[in-house]
Amino acid sequence: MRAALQRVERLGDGFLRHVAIWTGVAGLLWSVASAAVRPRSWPRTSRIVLGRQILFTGVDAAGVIGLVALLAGVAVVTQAQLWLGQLGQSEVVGPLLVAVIVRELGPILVNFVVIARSGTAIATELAGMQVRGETGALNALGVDPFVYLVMPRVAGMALSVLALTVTFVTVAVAGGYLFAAALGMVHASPAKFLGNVFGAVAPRDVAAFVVKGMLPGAVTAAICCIEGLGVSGSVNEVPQAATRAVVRSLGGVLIVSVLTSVLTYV
Amino acid sequence: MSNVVEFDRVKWTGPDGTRLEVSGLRVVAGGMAVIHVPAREDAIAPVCDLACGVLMPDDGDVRYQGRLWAELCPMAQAPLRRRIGRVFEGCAWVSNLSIRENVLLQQMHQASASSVDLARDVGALAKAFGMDDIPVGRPEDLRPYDSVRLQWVRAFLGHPVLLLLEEPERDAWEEHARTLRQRTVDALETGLAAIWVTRRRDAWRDAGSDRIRHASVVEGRVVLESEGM
Repeated sequence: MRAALQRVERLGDGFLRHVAIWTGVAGLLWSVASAAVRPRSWPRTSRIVLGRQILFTGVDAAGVIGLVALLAGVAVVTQAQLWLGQLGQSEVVGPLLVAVIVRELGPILVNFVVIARSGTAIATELAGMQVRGETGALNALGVDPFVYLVMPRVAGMALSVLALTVTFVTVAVAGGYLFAAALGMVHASPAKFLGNVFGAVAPRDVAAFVVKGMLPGAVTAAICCIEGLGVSGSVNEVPQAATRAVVRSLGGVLIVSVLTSVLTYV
Repeated sequence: MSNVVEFDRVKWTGPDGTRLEVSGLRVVAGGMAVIHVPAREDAIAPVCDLACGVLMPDDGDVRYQGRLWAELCPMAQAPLRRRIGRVFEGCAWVSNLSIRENVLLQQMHQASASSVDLARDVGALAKAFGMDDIPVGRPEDLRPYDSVRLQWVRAFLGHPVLLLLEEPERDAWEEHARTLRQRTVDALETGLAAIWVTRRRDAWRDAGSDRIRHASVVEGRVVLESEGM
């Protein structure tokens, strides 16, 4: 009986810990959103950090995202054409691509790449700054770490992930079509193919796409900032913070993605 | 003269057990407190951190320009700190910024500062402290005597209200340290306040200025030695 109670207690502790973590993330996102809409929250220094974050997360990652998108597009379009063609259902390839690439695969794969590239970079950079006492020095100079370090990173990640998701969908659909056409698996003209794909996009797809494009990036940045700045002073904590940031970001992306799909389509 | 910083029965204990008590220390506009911290004491940074509200006392009050740091929210504290020039004993620079960005960061973070004026002032201050210009590169490339001089440039930039100088003469050549002392005296004349924390017992002893008060840290307590102004 006692062992069972201890197990329940541990389960409850774990649940409460997770509630506290996600409440913290939600609180940080709310603080960023409410500060970011005020122009005076954006001094030159924060605008420079925003620009650098977009450059690193959005522009520098475009090549990797393009490659992943091309491979994903080829795989999905090829399979779709092959199986739907055999079933005589080639006309539903558009809705299927929208369901697979636009609604689910695109946002999730983009976020996974961004977590691997930029999420770890943010967590280790901020943890390193914390260990070296640089965040303390910033605070002493009147450079608010929230305004200078956190807000531009969260905003930059959200905008970058949205732009990368648009890039992913474009490259995946175009690449998939060209590959299938080259192999003679698709006989529709490009215009008809695109019309077929985009004709399947409903307004709720656009809304879900924007939410899935922006929110997971912001969640990832918030988690990585919290983990990075949560380091208390030992160098050993830096890789641990980065690992925690990656694991929690992956969980966060999946939760946001699933919740958005359920709320939009069920 | 109005008080710029005022310590009132302040008691603070750090996580590592470092203890500090400060009572009756006031620094007025145009005045400077020179605090001698013997080698066995570990209170250089805490004195300055308490003065600029980064550390909150366990007991007592620290007032800055008449306001209690403890009653101000972080968003209200930050603009006040941007008018405090600081030379750090420990970490002074952000490693992922260039040297120039580091020197300008505090001033660039406020909307009012003009880039042209800042560039002109940085150049003038660098020359005054014996440098041709701000070096190119990252802070880790800096030699110690350049690092401390660049901290002086940053501290004097943007007409601060208060200077917090933690061992500002360490690593500096005497010729440049003399310039710093003269610059500080000139700044006091214009109404700036300063706290100069040093390991050197003889620092500023022969200055003969009634603007300067001396104090020493004895077993964690800041003991005032002279009233001055």
